[in-house]
Amino acid sequence: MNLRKNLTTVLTLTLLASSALPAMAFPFGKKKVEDDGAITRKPTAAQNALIDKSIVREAVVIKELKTRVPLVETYIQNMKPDPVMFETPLSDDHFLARVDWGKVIGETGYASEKRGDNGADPKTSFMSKFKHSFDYVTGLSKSLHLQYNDSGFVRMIVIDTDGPNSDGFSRTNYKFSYVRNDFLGTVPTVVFDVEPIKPKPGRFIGRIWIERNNGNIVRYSGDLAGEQQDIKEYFHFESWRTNIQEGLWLPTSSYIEETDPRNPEHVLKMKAINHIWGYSLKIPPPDGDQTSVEVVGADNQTASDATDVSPLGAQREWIQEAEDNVIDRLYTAGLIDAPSDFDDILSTLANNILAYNQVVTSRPIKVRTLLTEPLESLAVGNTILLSKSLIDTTAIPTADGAQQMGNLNALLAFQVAHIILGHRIDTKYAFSDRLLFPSASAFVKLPMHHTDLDNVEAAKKAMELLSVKDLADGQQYFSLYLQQLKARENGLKALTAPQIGDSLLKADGSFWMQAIVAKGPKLDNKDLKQQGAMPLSQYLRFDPWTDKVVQMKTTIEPLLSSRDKIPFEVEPIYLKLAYYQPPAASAPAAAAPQAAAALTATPVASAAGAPADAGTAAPPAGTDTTAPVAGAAPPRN
Amino acid sequence: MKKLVFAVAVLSASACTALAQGDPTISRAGDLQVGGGYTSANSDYLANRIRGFAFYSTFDFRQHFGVEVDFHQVSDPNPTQIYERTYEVGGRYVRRYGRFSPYAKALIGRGVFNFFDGDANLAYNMYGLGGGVDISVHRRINVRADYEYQIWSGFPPNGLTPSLVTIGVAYHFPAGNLSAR
Repeated sequence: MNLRKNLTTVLTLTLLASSALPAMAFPFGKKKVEDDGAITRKPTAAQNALIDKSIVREAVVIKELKTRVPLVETYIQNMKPDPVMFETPLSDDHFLARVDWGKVIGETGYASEKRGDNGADPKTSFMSKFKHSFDYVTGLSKSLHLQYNDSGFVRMIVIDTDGPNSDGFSRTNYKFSYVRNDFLGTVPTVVFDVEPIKPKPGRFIGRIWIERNNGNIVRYSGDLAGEQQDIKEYFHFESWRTNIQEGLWLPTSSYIEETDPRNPEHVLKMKAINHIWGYSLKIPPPDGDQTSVEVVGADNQTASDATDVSPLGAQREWIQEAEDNVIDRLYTAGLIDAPSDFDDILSTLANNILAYNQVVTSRPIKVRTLLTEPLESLAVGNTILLSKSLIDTTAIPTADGAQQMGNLNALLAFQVAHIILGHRIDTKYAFSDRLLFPSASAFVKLPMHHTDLDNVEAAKKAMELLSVKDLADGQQYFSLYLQQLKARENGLKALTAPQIGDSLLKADGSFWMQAIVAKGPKLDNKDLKQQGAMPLSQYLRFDPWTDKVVQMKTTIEPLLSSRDKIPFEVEPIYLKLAYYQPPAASAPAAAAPQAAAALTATPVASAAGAPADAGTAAPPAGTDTTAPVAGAAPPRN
Repeated sequence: MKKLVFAVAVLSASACTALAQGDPTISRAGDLQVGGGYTSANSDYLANRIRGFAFYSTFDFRQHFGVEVDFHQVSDPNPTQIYERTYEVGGRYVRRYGRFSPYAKALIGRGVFNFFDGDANLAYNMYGLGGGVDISVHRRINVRADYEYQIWSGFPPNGLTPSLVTIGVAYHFPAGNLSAR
């Protein structure tokens, strides 16, 4: 047999079979610059100078990022077609981590330490070895399924890290084409298309917006090269940076989406959002230093005549200490916002609930905002925490603001009820070491929620609080909100799973405040006059440096079809950029300890028994309480 | 023949070293299928064709590169007790066009030849070159048509070069729905 002839035949046939079909006819696995019809030109000398400046500035940004440990939150929604609303979440995922940029940019990964629920290392007992074997088998099977990489999402926050100093964005790696000049908000930019000279995996392909004055890259949109379909894939993304300090533009948000190529209606396969904040946070001190955390504004008992404390007094002090500790540490960890004007508005609303019901408390209620995505709330002492997404999704814009007000009142009433009923958090948090946050790893869920029994009691009490004349009308709106959430609950498991506090849902899928559902009209997604809930990031934005939340100044977008209803969904980001303006007054960036100090402040007037002008209908009115009403109404431009 | 061994080694090694990449948005370890099928072979020893069965598994850890493990057992249908049995492992290059995934493979392994009436049962080093197509008929089921040309270099007196055709069905571990790691 002619061996050489046979070998030649086999090789020829197999290679022909595997590559006979032209790759262009089957574009799978290829990432090419998408031609959107824009005319691109070779940059002029001035434009080249701007590109060179941007390369230098990008290296500065990466160097700056390496000194920071901000929080990065990724929330993902996998989508499916919907006959009425076009598409709806099929499932969702949520990552929250404090990122050590020095490690991430060095491509060594982060959040690699897997820990148990209590933050301790996993046990290695005899029985656990069997479990580990089982875990290995299931893990092996799971590893054959496509899974999201949290570090892959974090990677999108910079353009290119594959360089000698993690600064791969350079002329040796990329070629540039001028597209146009553009304004993003009040910031003049020059837009360039960027393409890697050699399509190495991880190189950026897309478009960048360079701020014209100083050469900072303020926005970029595209994809990364090197995709291997069904093995390793990069998704399209758009990232924004904001001028958070003088001359410093740092990543703020990214929007990621990928269309399902097999769906003829172009339904999205997934969409996701990255939020980054807490740039000015410091790494929590090591374990041994936890007891030195100082609560600014707390009573300095060495300056007064100390007296003995009774057992009851000691118990109250103990609980107070736990509550102060929680608020302090949550702020230090970047989970709650710095006290803001918006928090004051919410505080007034909460105190009005007390006033309308003529409930007197020893201390006024404070409200702070949890900066995370899950829909949750919590009462820690007299401080109520509402998650940002809870506030966003309930902010239905109406002419009189009544719907948003009704929703906020219902949310607050649930936690006000906890406060009235004296439900406490676990006093183990009085020990400072109980609330440690790792410096650079994923946050574990902190079980500070109330017990089921407490929640049942609080829900009942909340319904009582909301039944007073001034608040009763708002129940119908929260009914719609809960119905809308129920309609999408199956696809929003991560969004409805609380990070630290109380969920809206019971374990069986019903609501703690189920009784309020019957108070409103039936949800009809086809009814354009009815809107149960809003998309995420609808109402609040936050300063990634100070962690203060502010209300966005948006216009009301009229609904043209049921597809315009996008309740609880991730939506693209479009920021109106502006240059950094230093604070006009020298008001110090508020810190969490101030909240602790506020807990000891004198009772607000409303706590004395009645709200100002309590006789007026909702929203509550009065000299002091009118402001929150106006503030809570949808802003207009 | 040395060139052939070198080619197999390069095919496998280059696929491994190229794994170090930037963090992707989604990923998985690779694409795995495990299956079996019917094999018909020209034994290069008997005049008639011999038949048998095969088991195979492929694991593609890159979009176009993977590893393959094959087992073939083909026997003379006449009562001679002659059979050829091979155990092979190697690399493969695959492309994906919708449901069709044509591939080329280069394998190395051991071949066992059972002589007439069981007079001798000897094992030889052998190599295999081949190709075919995997067809996805369902997200969990692949059908395969495979051709393999084997070289038993130590087989006396001048080597043995069987060629095998296999039709198989495999369970394919699907990429699944996207989920958190």
